[in-house]
Amino acid sequence: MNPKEIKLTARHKEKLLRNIWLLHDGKWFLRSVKESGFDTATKLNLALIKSIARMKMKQLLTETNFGEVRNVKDLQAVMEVAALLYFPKEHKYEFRVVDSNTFVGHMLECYVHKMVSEAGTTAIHQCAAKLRFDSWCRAMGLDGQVTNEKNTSDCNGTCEIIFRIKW
Amino acid sequence: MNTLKKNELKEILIKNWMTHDAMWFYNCLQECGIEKTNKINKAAVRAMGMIEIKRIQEALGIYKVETFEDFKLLSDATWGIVKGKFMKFSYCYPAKNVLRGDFESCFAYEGMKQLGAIEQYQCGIFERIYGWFEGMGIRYRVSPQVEGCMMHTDGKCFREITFTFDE
Repeated sequence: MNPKEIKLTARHKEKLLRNIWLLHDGKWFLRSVKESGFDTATKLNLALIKSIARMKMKQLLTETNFGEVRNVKDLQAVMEVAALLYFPKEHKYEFRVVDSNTFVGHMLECYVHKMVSEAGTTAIHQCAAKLRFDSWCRAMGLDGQVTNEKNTSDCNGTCEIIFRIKW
Repeated sequence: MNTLKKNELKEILIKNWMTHDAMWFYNCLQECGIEKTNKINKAAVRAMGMIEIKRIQEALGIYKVETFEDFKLLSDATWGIVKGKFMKFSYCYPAKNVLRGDFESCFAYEGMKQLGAIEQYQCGIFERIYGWFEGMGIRYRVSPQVEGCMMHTDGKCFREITFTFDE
């Protein structure tokens, strides 16, 4: 096939960008492990996620002109857009509104867990999900609590992340 | 809520990716110091670049880069995928086997100035591009040879890269 005839679709370009971004993140982590050890690399990764997650959510709210997140329906709407934008496509999840103050993200197949399993480091890896969603809530100006009872070592790639929000 | 157009989505993805990279650098700098951070950054981005270009080659169906024409085709297509509007540079092919890139401004230079690390910062931008060349399996020479940040030391930044196709 003549490559001049090949044009990538916007969807294909988006997929490439997402995958290469994840690859870059992974390379930072691996090189940090090599140079500074697993504990330092984990510390760096968690600090990074905490700050970058807040920034990403603020940017999403600005770019979409969302305005204030005032109730659980708003929260669901933001989470659905954020997940589409920021979760890897390989992540399988469901969102559920339990009541006016409770929202649940059910992770069915976690991409991070899959990658960590392949690397053989589930026993020592620290899941950053709670940290990420805490930061998202702060960026949305929400008062509440995010809980996730599992960590990478005992989640087997699935978990429930519970948002309890005071409106 | 506004919906994102495809081009807006691309810009958000690239901006977030570069911010994510900068946050890795920042956190690493705080934890490990500039010398180790430079080493990790350059190794991570070069390793990423080598795999990145292979993924793009596969997506485009340009499996081998055997001539300068092949190279130009792949190079142009790659920039079409990974270049954000905030990346203010231009490139051209002033002669056969020659690629020249000129930076009007540089987001890495601006970022490093903000971090107070510009004096010791070693450019990671071109490491990514050299990673592409290594991933393509092509030989090249770079002029000028720069250790630190040329935008900082010279007030401008460029590279001329000469390949050895058909020599």
